[in-house]
Amino acid sequence: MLNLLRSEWYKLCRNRSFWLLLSLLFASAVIYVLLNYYDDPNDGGALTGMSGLDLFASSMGANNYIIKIGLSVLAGFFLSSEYSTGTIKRAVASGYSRSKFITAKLLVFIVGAMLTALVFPLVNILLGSVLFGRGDLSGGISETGFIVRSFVLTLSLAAAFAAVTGAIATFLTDSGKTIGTVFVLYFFADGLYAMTGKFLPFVNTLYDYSIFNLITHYADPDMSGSDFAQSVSISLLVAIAFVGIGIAVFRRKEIK
Amino acid sequence: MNEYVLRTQQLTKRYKTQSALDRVDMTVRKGTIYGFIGQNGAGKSTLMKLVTGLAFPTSGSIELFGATGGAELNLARKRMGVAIENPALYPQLTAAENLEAHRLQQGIPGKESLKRTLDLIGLSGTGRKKTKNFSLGMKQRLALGVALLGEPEFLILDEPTNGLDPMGVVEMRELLTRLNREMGITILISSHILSELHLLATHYGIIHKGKLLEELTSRELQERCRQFIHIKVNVPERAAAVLERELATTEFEVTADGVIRLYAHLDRPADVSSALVAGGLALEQFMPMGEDLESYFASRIGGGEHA
Repeated sequence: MLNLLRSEWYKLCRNRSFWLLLSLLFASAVIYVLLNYYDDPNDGGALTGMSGLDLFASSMGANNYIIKIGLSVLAGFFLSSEYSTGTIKRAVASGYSRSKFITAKLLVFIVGAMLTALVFPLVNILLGSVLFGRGDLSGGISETGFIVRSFVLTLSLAAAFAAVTGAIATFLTDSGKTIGTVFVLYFFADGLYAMTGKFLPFVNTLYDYSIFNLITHYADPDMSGSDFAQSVSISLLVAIAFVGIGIAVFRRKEIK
Repeated sequence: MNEYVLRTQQLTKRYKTQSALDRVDMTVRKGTIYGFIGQNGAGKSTLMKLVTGLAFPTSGSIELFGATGGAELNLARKRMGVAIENPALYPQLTAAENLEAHRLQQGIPGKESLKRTLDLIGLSGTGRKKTKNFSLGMKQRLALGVALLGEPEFLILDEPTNGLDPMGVVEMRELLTRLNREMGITILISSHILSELHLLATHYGIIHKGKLLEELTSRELQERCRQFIHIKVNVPERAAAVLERELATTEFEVTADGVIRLYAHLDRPADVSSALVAGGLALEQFMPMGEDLESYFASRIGGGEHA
């Protein structure tokens, strides 16, 4: 298993799409902070009221979309490309059990997704704090606690979305189909839940506890300890369940 | 050599109602080069996919290095090197990086195996060039290199000469022969270039429409594809006597329609014709004949069709 993880990590570290994604997110985050920094307060700008924490909070909102879009692109090029290049055949024929192979693949993909999800908010809080100062939160909330909690939620939700994306990529095998399907699913999931919830009330409850809802308020400074624990637990359970689904799909899949 | 590397029994694969493999009993003995011959869609790749674990059989069994099922069979696959269909490579990686990814996966210690393999396949000079910029021939060689990296005992190669130029085909043949003779690697190879396969294989399997029609050794094939001089004369009995007396040979046969097949003196046809004419015989037909692998294959699958 360790050999498989090392090999997958080696491939991820040499995956051009992965580095392009990280570079784009890094550049976007730097530009976002600098735009705020150079925004003229005498012309409607917000420089005077801005702090590293403010930037961090707003970047978490944007990161919601980054996690979804970034993951689908990464899945398309890291997972599905194994099928288009045919390298999946060699891996399956290499004598490892299919379960071990796909577990290693999905775990490394999840780690890659978690790293991707960290870039935008991390650059915002670091560069924002350097330029504007870290700032304070109102209501006596611990700043460090908020930052740590936000990062933990970012990582756990990224893991959950990555596992869902990974299972879809394992099922569809084609990078174009994976990117397309994940895009549609992630961006219309909220609407689908709302629409279905009108006819089936339990779907509303389901939505309340789904990762699609949790990610919309994962950067809430007022989040209670129990809500935080619930969000992390649900995210991790979703991640574990969908890695399991990915394994089950791959074990039965014939490689064409 | 009775030790088996691969044996299938009644191996069958169906896709819905279509039968891709039908009760195939195949045997690949240790140390052999098994040429797998069949048309497109005959079932060659399907069998290779079943053996390598890419697809699952509908029924029947696969025995690989004596292992017959489940985890044991999967473990036996670690002793195989595989290159099926198109060269399976990471296009963004260099040749060395492709090998390194496979080395890490297989847990092969030490990086010296990378250089050794690159030298063996003649790609040590490719440096930082990404494999997406390789020619098809280079990709084929690298795919073979990846298959060889773990020093396998059994190589499964599906059309490894696709895209190779004539020199590349010769080099590939020489390399495979060397791997077989010097390192004792057993090879299962499919190829459309039957003349090439003829120079390489020690055993053959002919598959057609999912059925394994025949397995034979190169010696058996040679006998069945035996070259001869086809002779038709006015008095076959006298011609037979002339051949025995003047050319001192009994290596001929007289067919029911009076045609003589002479298996000797193939390199001296002028001597044969002179002796017959001197014996007072009128030559009606006189020509060298015989089958090669291609015509033998065509005759086995019903004629007129080619691999």
